[in-house]
Amino acid sequence: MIKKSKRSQHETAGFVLIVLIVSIIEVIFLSIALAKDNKSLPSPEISHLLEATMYSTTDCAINYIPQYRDVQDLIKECYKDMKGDYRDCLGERDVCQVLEDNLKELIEESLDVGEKSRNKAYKLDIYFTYGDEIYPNEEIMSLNKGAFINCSSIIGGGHSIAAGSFGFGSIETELTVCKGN
Amino acid sequence: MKPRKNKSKEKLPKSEFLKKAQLEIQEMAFMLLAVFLFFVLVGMFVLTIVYSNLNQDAARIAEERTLSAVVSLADSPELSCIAAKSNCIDGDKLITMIRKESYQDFWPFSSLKVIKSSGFGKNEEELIKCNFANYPDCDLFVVYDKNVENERAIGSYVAFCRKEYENGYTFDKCELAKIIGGTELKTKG
Repeated sequence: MIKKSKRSQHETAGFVLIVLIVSIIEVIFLSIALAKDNKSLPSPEISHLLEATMYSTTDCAINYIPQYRDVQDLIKECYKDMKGDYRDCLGERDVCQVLEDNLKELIEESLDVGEKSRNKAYKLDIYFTYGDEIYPNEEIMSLNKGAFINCSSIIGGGHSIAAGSFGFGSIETELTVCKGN
Repeated sequence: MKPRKNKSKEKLPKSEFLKKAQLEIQEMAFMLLAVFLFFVLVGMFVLTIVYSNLNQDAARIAEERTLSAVVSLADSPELSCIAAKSNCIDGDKLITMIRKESYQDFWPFSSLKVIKSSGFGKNEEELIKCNFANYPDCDLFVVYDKNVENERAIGSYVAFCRKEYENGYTFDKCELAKIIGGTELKTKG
């Protein structure tokens, strides 16, 4: 009789153990599923903003006025400048500096970034990529404003510029925005 | 598993019988607890999926659909730029379309407006409406507005290009703009 009782006790303990293990696994799984993801969500709004920004005419003319470059041309000129093929806008202004000023103005006036605004922060990355894992990406420019803290969500988008004369590879632009409450 | 013996017919001492009964009750209690826990967790899991992912996805898809309608509007022959640029509006075409009531039945929007970058951050009252007299020094193009009561506006960023003349040359001058299409929200009942 004692043997039988012990066996039942073991069975019960085993059963409870299994239930506990299954419960713990489910709780872990749920906590992972419910945890806030810090990855940015793809946003067509941001992709369209980037695309439209690339067509915006800047105040930089390289050969003559009014051959003003648009932002995507200026990015290419800036990359060439970084590679040693030095370029200047008319008026001896550095192409990369003019690009930075224009981009900042365009992004900040359209997104209205600020601590009390809907958009709390942004980060813009522009880099040249060969599209493989052999050669590393080459950073052309990185702009940001605000801090990615307490974001209700992070949205992002990208736009590719065909590099054309640079052979294989392309210039990628990526914009991520921290949305406030 | 061995077949269970008929308990009622077993002759056990009272204390043994009570112990066995206690054990069985214990087993049943644990079983009930486990079943309850299991259903609670399954319920939570289902609720999580239903109220987070599905709703989020539905909202995102609906918004993307309206957005793509607005973007395809920018690429329509009536508004698109002459240069092969997608997501680009020709300002010189747009100015000829303002207050054209015939477009009300042409596009599936209750209102259609374009705000230039000079109008970003301004209140609606502060925006300068465009007409032939003040173009291009203005902020807002109203193609048409049906003035519906319950309207949801969806906007998308576009490039806004027009021809400029300087030093004897004409060139394309592009800036940022926002195209806004309004859709009437139909209430049930």
